[in-house]
Formats: sequence, C-alpha cells, structure tokens
Amino acid sequence: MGVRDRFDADYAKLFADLTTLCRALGAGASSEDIAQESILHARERRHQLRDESKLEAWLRRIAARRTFEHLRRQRRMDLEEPARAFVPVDPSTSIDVSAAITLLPDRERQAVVLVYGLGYEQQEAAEVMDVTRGTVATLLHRARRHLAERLAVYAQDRDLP
Amino acid sequence: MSRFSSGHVSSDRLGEAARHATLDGLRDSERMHLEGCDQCRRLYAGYRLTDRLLAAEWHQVALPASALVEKPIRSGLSGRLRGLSLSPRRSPRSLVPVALALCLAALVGLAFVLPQFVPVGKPAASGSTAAQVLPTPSPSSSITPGVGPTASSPGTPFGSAGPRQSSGVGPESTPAGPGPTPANPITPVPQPPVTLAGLPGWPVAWAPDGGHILVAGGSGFMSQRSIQILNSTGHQTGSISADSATWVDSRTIAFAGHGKLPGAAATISLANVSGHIVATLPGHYRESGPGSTGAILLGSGTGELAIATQGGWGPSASAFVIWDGGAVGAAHKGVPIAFSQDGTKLAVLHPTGLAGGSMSGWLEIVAAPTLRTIASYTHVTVRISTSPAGSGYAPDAAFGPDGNWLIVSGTLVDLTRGKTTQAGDGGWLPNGVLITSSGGTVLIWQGSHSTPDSDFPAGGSIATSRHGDVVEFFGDGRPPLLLTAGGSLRQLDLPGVASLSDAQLAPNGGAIAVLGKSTDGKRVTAVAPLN
Repeated sequence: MGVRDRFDADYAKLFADLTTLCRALGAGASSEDIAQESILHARERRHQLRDESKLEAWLRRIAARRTFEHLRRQRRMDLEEPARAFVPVDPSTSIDVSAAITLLPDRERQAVVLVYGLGYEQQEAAEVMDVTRGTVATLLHRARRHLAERLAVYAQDRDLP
Repeated sequence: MSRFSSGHVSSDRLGEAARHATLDGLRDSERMHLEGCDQCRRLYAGYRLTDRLLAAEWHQVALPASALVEKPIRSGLSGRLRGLSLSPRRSPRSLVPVALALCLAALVGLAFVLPQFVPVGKPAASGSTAAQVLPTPSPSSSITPGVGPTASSPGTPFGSAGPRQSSGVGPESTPAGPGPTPANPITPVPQPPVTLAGLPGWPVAWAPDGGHILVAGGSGFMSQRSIQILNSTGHQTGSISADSATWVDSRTIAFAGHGKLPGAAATISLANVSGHIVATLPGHYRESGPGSTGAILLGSGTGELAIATQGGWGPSASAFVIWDGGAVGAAHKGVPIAFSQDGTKLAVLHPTGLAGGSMSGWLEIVAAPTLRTIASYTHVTVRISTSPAGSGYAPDAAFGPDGNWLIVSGTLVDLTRGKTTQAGDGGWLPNGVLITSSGGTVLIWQGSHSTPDSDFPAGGSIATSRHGDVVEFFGDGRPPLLLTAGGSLRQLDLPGVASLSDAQLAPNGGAIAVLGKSTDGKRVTAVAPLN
C-alpha cells in the first residue's frame, strides 16, 4: 500500500491520533482543525517522505509544530481559552497537584505530556519535538525535579507514603 | 540550581531513592541527614508524589484559573477553596458570635418595637387569610395568650427565640393608651413573582445564603438537562447542563454529568453562580446497580460534597466518598442523606429495601469529612422518599440546628436516644423548633412532643427557612401564609399563581420559590422576593 493509499485508508486512525496529540499539547478546541490541516499538508507533500514506515512520526512532527505555532500565536494575541489541560489525575490528590504539570516550562511539559501522558517512547517524543533523545531525557529529568520541588510541601503535609 | 541542593542530600540522590521507594541506596551520612532535615524529607516526599502523579491516568480536565499560577500547593479545604478563587469562604463558626450578637440586638429592638405593631386579629382557622394588622397603642400591652393553644402562649415551643412573641395578642387585649403610629403598618403585600416560563423543573435548590437558586429545566433525570441559576429576584445569572446538581457552598455548585443513562461514568465539576466551570474533581464516578436514579451528589453548603460512587440510591451495595476541597476520601458504605447544618455530621442510610419510590434502611451518623462513625442505629428503620432526591437535589432529610435531631420524610429521629416519632412533613426553625403538617393540622414540636398550632389554618403544607420564617401553602387556591422571623403574619399575594403544590423559602427568608398552577390551570414555577 502506497503512502497515498495509507492516507485514505487510515485517515480515521491518523486523524484520531493527531487530534489526541494536539489536544495533549494544549491546542484545545483547535486540535481537530490542526490535525486535519496536518494530514492535508502531509498528503500534498508526501513525496518528501523517504521512509514510508515513518509516516506516523512525520505526521506527528507536523502536527506538533503546527500546535506550537498555534499556541505561540494565541499567546501573542493574548487569547484566553477555557483552562482545560491534559494532566494526570490521581483521585486521592488535589486537582492543584495535577495542575502543577501545566506550570512546567514549555519544553519540559511537552516532554512529560508526550512520554508520560501519551506513552511515547523517548525517541518518538524526540522526533515530535524535533530534538535528540538525550534532550528529551534531560527535559524529563528536569521536569521531575521541578515537580518534586513544587509538590514537596503538599506531599509532606499529606504524609503520603 | 535547586534551592534544595545546598548543604543537603542532593536532589538527584533523593530522586533516585524515591524512584526505588527506598532509602537503602543512600549513604549512612545521607540517611542520618535526612532524619533531621525537614527540607530534604519534604523533597523526598515531593519526588514520591511526582512519580505517583506521573503514573496516574491522564485526562483532559478543566482546571481552575487559580491552579495555573505559581503558588504553593496546599492540602486541606481552606487552601483548596482559596486556590479555586471562589468567593471568600465564610466560616459558619466564625459567624456564630456575630449572628448571636445580631439576633440579640434584633430581639432587644423587637421587644421595644413589636408590641406597638402587633396584630389584633389572626387568620381564622377556616382559611380566611387576610391578616388585619393594626398598631396597638402601647408597648405596655403585654403578650397575652391567644385563643386556643397558640404557639405564642407562655411555654410554647417557640420560646423566647421564637418568631411569634408578638403575634398572639387576642381580641381581648386592652389598649393601654395611644402609641406611635407605624409609618409602614404590616399589611398583606402583593409579592409579584417572577414566573419562570419554560422551566417546568422542580424541585429547586436554594443556595445556603439564599442568594441564588437552582431550577431544573427539561424533564426527568435520565438525560443531560439545563439547570438554571437564578438570583433571589428570579433573574437568571447562569446555567449548567447536568444530570444533578447541589450547592457545595453559597457560591459553588457541584454538578454531575455523564451525558448518558445513569450507570455511565460521571464527571463532577464545580461551577460558580454564573455557571462557569471553575474546577473538575479528579476521577470519574460511577453509579451502578438497580435503583440508580442519577442522584449522586449531596452538598453540605459549608464546603463538603458527598458523592455516591456505587449504587447511587440503590438498595444495598451503596457507597459514597466525601470531597472537602482537598482530596477525595475513601469510600464509605451507605447513602448520604443529610449534612448537619454546620457540616460536621452526615446522616447515612444503609438501605435494606427499595420500593414504591422510597427507600428504607437503618441510620448511621458519621463525622464529616472523616467519615468516622459517631453513632449507628441499626435498630432504627426509616423510610426516605427518593423523590425529589431522585431528581438530583437534596434528599428529604434534615438535621435540627443542634445536630441531635433528624427528620427523614416525616419521621422525627431523636439521635440521642435512637427513638423515632411520626411527625409529618415540615421544617426546622433556628431555635430547634420543628413545625410540621400532619393530617391537615399544623404541629409545633419541641423535642418529641407536639402541640397543635391554631395560628395556621388546617389543610396546608409547611416550609421553613433557617432564618426563622414559616410559610403555609395550600393546594386548594388559598393564598399562602407567611409568618416571618420578626413575628409578622401575612398572606402572600402571588399574582398569576392560583394554587401551590410545593414551596421553598430561601434560607435567609428573602424569597420564596413556588411550584403550582396558574389561574388557567397551567403548571407554573415562580420565584418571588419577600420584602
């Protein structure tokens, strides 16, 4: 099956996968639009893809890049979207704990969302973020330390095991 | 550079130890340091929590705006509610001295003022409700027992704090001389209601402070419906789409929506009185089992929320959790039916039977939010109506003000003795008096002893406010009677509302919500300010 056929045959799956990614990265209500635009963009430029087995990774990179652009544009325009976020939810802790994820620096948060939230391998996350795997590992390490510092008081107050 | 790194066990070492959930990998010197260093222990706990958090399920959730700014993350209710940027939370306990002082001042004032404005006639028992009220000439005209065993008689349950000290002056009262003419004599005043067209929903739920009210729109509880949020003048301030809703406090509404039939996982969110979502509680809540009706929320009005997690209003395997602004606690068996007025106790029904729109079972009183059992009444079986609770609003149960009495669908339970008495439907006054309507007669209860009331005509139903107001309403077209906390008795004129089948007073006595029929026989829901 050629790339063009895969676009058509797997459209629903690709669209769902990209929408999930965009939403997790914070695109909110624009996620579906970005996902669709990414597929259309990739379909037009499918000749640029050398290794067909990397179609999903290529699409994710496009969608992620478009999401980051969208977020930057939003920030510039100071647009306020409803505060929805893709975060871990532990029923035994406050929602503020979950929200700590959103306060991480952008790159750290993106790495955490991709690896912990979406279950990407570090290499996959690196491809989406257009960085090396080592960079992702470093970002994850820093993110964990930042979260630990942020949650330290809460964790001790709650006497969590 | 981490602020934890200088002179302490390194952050990386603590992180590594936390990852393995053991301190064994640390050197002896590091372990010794950790024992005496609060900062390092805190960071270690932070790493443990971080790892637990990152391993949790991820969801798209609505976050309160306040959670998205840099600030210390606290545990506990006060921090949680501050974090939500809700309205300033007022501690009910902190208001007690103020309220007592205000009540005292009001009573002193009333003692001087009211005798000058007491009614000379009371509504006749036949239902003639035009309370003619004329000024009496002198404050020296002492309170005289009225005709029959009125509540205003010395020793009647209203007592010194009751609302009727001045309402029992009988016809034989002798004017003692000219007195000041009130500038604004108390007369029946029309209360133009705001008719809520297109909102056939009932029941309604007043906010604890009486500032707002929830009115269900749509029909039934089997699907998402629009719940309107109105202020006390009947004007809409917002709306939410939910299966059930309850007041967590006076400015916060908790609502559940699963968008499908009961039995599906529900999301619990918090909204302000504008209907804007300010937070979503962690996790999903599922009610299952036969008899589930969608009523899975019970707010205390003082910051706690009971959430049925299993069974809902089901017959046997019911369970619930408490959210108090921080974490959601462990599940407890039973069905939560009423918080005490101060929010520190919760009545729990352990169902043994469900039939005919009601549920029976034995009672347990637990502490909120810890759910520690205070008392179990396995020998006390009570029956509670699942309607209107089945529509997602407050169950038909209420604690007395002191927390020692509970009324459940007309059954009065003495929680200190574990005894029950059939009392009829009604409500509590702030001084602990219960007023009910039973067999067409209005009864005033002091403890488990009742006295028929002669001020209110027979055949009506009773609703009370926490402020101390009492309303008797009728299904036969007679206008409702309002006895205010200040002691004035008057009829309510609700233009366009011909008969009432239910009424709820705002807790502050500032308004009334009614369900009834219009003059042309159509169902009507209305809110009327009481001034």
